[in-house]
Amino acid sequence: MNYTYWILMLALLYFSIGALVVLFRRNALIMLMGLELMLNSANFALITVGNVVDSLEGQVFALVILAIAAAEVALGLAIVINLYRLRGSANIDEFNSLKSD
Amino acid sequence: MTLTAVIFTIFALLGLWGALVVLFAKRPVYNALGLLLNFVSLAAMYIMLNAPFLGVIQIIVYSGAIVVFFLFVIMILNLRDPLTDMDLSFKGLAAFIMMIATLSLLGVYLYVIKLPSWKLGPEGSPARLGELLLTDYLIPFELASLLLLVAIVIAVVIGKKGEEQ
Repeated sequence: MNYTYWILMLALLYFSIGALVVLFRRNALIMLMGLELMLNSANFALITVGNVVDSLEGQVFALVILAIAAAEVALGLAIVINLYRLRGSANIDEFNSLKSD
Repeated sequence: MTLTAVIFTIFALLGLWGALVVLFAKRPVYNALGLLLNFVSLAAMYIMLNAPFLGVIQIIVYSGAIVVFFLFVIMILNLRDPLTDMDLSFKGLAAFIMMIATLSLLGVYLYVIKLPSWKLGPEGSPARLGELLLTDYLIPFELASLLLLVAIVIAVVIGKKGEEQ
């Protein structure tokens, strides 16, 4: 039984749940949570593969991704707060003023 | 199965539970707490995968900063009512089917290729990670700090009330 396969499949499962959150929830706040789930599963896969190929570089990449995720969630939440100020809701289907028809 | 594998499986199921709570919960605070459960069990799995520094950083940054940040935003926006934002329309279902097809293709690919057998690599202690970050990966490290600075400035600019418009 190859643990590498199962751990990578677990990361894939977490990623797909995060993608489902982004696809099916329409609230921008919850969609940001889905993005966090996806970034975390990418980190998980990087650390797993780094173990298997016997190198620390996977963990270094995971650290950089962690910094990027922190920056991304700060900006995303600032945008969500502004969306609430503008319309009183963060349902992204209401923000279609750039739509042409 | 060894004891480590059993504990790993328990944490994997806990993380799965947290992710499903994020997907299905109606109240935003429950979503944030599901996210917290997922992050903490991922940190435990990192520690078991020989990445103790990343596990601790995961708890400090994700569960300590990001989840609290989400909870602050939920508090500021006063999101008390249950959300009814689950959208199962045709577009979403089409995207869902495409996503399942792609992911199962990836799973089959992982199954078919000859994955190297499982083993634990070097332990990611802070000293060794710091050495790598300050020698071979200096430029990504500095770029990440620059990115954080830019993100701070932009978050302040976006987040303040615009009286001047």
